[in-house]
Amino acid sequence: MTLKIGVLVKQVPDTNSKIQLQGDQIDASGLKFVVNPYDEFGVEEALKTKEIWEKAGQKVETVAVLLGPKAAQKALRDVLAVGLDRGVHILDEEGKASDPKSVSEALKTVCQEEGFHLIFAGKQAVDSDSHATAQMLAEHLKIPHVGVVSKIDFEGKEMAQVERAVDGGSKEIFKLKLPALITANKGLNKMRMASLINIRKAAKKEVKEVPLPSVQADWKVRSWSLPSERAAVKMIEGDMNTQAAELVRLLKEEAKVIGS
Amino acid sequence: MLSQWVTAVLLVLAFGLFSYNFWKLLQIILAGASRDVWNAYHLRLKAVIDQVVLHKKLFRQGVPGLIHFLIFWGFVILSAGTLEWMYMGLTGGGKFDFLGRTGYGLFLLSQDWFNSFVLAAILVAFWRRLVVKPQRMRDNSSKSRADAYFILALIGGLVATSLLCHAIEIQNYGDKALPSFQVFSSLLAGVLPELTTGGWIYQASWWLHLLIVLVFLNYLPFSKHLHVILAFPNVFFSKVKARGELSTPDLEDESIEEFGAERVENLPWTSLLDAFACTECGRCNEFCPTASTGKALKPKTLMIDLRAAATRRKSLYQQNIEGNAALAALQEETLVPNTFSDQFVWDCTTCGACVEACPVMIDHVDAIVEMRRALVLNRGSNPDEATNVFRNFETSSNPWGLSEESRQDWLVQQGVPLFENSEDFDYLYYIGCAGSFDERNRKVVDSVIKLLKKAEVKFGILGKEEKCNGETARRMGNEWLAQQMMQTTVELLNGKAVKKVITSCPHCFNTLKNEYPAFGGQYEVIHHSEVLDSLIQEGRIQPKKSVSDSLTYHDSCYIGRYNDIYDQPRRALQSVSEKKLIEMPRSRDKGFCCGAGGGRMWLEETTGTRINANRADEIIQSGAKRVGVGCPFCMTMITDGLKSKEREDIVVQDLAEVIAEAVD
Ligand code: SF4
Ligand code: SF4
Repeated sequence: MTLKIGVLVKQVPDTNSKIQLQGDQIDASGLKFVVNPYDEFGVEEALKTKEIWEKAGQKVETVAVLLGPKAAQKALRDVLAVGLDRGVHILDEEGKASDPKSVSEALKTVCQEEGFHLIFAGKQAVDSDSHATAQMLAEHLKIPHVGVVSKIDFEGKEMAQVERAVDGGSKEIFKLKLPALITANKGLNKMRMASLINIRKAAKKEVKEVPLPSVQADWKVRSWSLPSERAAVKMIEGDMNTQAAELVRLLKEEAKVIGS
Repeated sequence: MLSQWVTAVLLVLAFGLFSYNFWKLLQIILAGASRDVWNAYHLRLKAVIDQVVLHKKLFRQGVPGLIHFLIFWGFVILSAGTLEWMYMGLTGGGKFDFLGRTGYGLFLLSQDWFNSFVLAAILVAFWRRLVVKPQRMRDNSSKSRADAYFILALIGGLVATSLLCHAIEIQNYGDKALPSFQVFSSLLAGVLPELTTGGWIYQASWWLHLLIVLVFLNYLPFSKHLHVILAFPNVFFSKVKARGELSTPDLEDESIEEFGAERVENLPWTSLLDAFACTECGRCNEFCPTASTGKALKPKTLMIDLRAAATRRKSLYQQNIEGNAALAALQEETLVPNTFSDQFVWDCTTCGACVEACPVMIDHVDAIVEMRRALVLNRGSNPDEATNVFRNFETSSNPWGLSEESRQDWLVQQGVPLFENSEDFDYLYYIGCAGSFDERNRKVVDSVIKLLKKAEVKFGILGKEEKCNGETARRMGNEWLAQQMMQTTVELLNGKAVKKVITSCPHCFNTLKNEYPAFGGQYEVIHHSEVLDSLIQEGRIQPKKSVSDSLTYHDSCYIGRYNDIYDQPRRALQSVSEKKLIEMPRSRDKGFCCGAGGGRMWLEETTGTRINANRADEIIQSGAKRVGVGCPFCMTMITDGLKSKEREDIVVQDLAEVIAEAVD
């Protein structure tokens, strides 16, 4: 029997590109979109796991799952080019699934249908930074989950030992029974290059488009605004005492960072 | 009569066996990918004359060069003697005396002189191997060494028996044997006791001579002395286009399922011919920066292992693979990792020292890049650091991944004009990534610009429109990315009708000059060292003072070895230097790479000792207070190398900076 590994993939704006607004909405025309960088670690880990298991004689299929508008399919093709076997695209043209809860519900339907033995995701998406979707999905699927993982060792195909860094340089080590969901942190690996041969193959790989299941979002971002321009540096003049007094006054009254 | 029959049968057997083995060898070589070589005959002929007839590369090292030259020409001339020997055997004593007394006399004279010459050379060669033991022969395998001794002994036997037979003939036939033409044989005849041509010594020597010839012939296909036969075709079929131009595969061709050299037979047959023509002389290793710093890559090993791998696969071309599990497994074997490690393939700086040194014109770099292409294009398997640079090229068109917006902004702010069209400007100054983004190298650009302005050269820059030209991605095997980058820049430059380009980076220089024509970009490309040299020559730049520090110059591979620019930077530096420029032992065509080429600039150097430290030692030993460079990557590498030796007191400067200093 073929084991399936699912990889959650989100398309996000490149953090290097400058966000611009049109009214109170984001102007997407000047934005460059990429695969969420944390999801890349998940992609690579799925490929590695596939290699390990296949060496041990187990057939494995890797499936990328993405939710988003039609245009986001580029991200799916990108990860197929890196080597994942096929993709499922949950189409959400109008952004109906607007919060982690609704997205995770939509993902749940697909994941249940696929029957993944293991699911990888990035620890968070760098656009909304909610840090919640994958975790909620694990709850929906009622499978164990560990987040922010930086090392994974499999013991056969049923157990995994995972590591994550916690404050102060110490590590937490978990043993986890599969099926399970793991979210990846930096340091887990580095996604390989999409080779030309794989890019060509990716164009022919299967991408199944499915409609958005009926989900209920609890919230949606109404409007956006840019942070105000940082004020210019102010030089305080005078002798030591006047300078100190003026500084305290400014911090209190203008910057409002200390109370009175 | 009997001896005539014996000779005939021996010849037929020996030549038959040789042809059979040689044919098998040809099959292995021709299993390689096709390559069009039926062109540029004048260049090919010139290469043959230079390297085979005149031994130009061998003469890079005087004494061994001369010895080989003598052995080679001795061999050619003595082959004529061998023909006479066979003729004599087949006709029962016939000689080439139909050439007339003078003609035959000269023929005998040539044999006599060369027999003696070669005998002397062989003795010296034995002495060198047994007593002197030069470095480059020390790492030879025992097989290779045994092979050398065996061959030297064969040749020695050949000339010794010939001398002996001629001497005995002189003793017996007197004036009929033309002793006056055979000084050395006559001398020998004088010191030998009286012998007869019918006696066993003569007979044994005569047959021994013939046997040695036939044994030699049949030993050739299995030894490194195959180069006796293959060196000539290898030189003839060697690369005739610019050394700095890599091949351009058609990546759009959907029928190709594997790029580069995944397996031995994906290499062009000329590379396989290279492997079989290698004489295992070790000259490549001697000059190779990775072999000199204890890394996996040794260009000689590349050739020897390639030969072994190709030979191993011969059953694939000669037998039916279907249903044969062992052959199917062999079919699956790839060059990396079955023959070479990843490290081996990624070690190369593409400095071309090996190519330059190789007397039989082997091209190691092309084979290595083909293997990198297979790794990157087919498998996406490359060092992680390479993945980073590829991404940076993709997103920002520079290896650092810095914002394209900031490219050359400091120059634009200074009002350096942007090249809009060729009517307003004579030159486009293509600055390159290092000059645009690296703090230290920006200063070099400042100096170049200052000097160009001073000389009233009409030039413009591209500002943030400039893009990386694709050189590094190409040498790192990412042909797909490289071709896109090359096309982009060609379109940009053609759109502005650019005709003449000045570059500061030798890597930009080589690619724009040698690789862009294949992409439709024909420009006159000039490195800043050439421009500055000619501006000084023409008096358009007039140095006011000169540098009193002792100066040396570090050659960059890509303007030096790849493009023969050795004199211009030296002349330019000399013109502002009080003292005579110091030459390091490894300079000009023997220059030692800084370690940055072939994308190595962006990869960790974790094995062996550091290449730049090796070079730094040489700079320190030269006693120079300043070292001039002509390449931004050399600048970085040499500076770091000297730093690692705690010799930051030695100043590293681009030659443009040294000149700019003298102009103020
Ligand atoms: S190109 Fe340079 S580094 Fe590469 S094998 Fe030849 S000599 Fe060595
Ligand atoms: S490749 Fe050339 S230089 Fe190197 S050992 Fe062979 S013949 Fe000599």
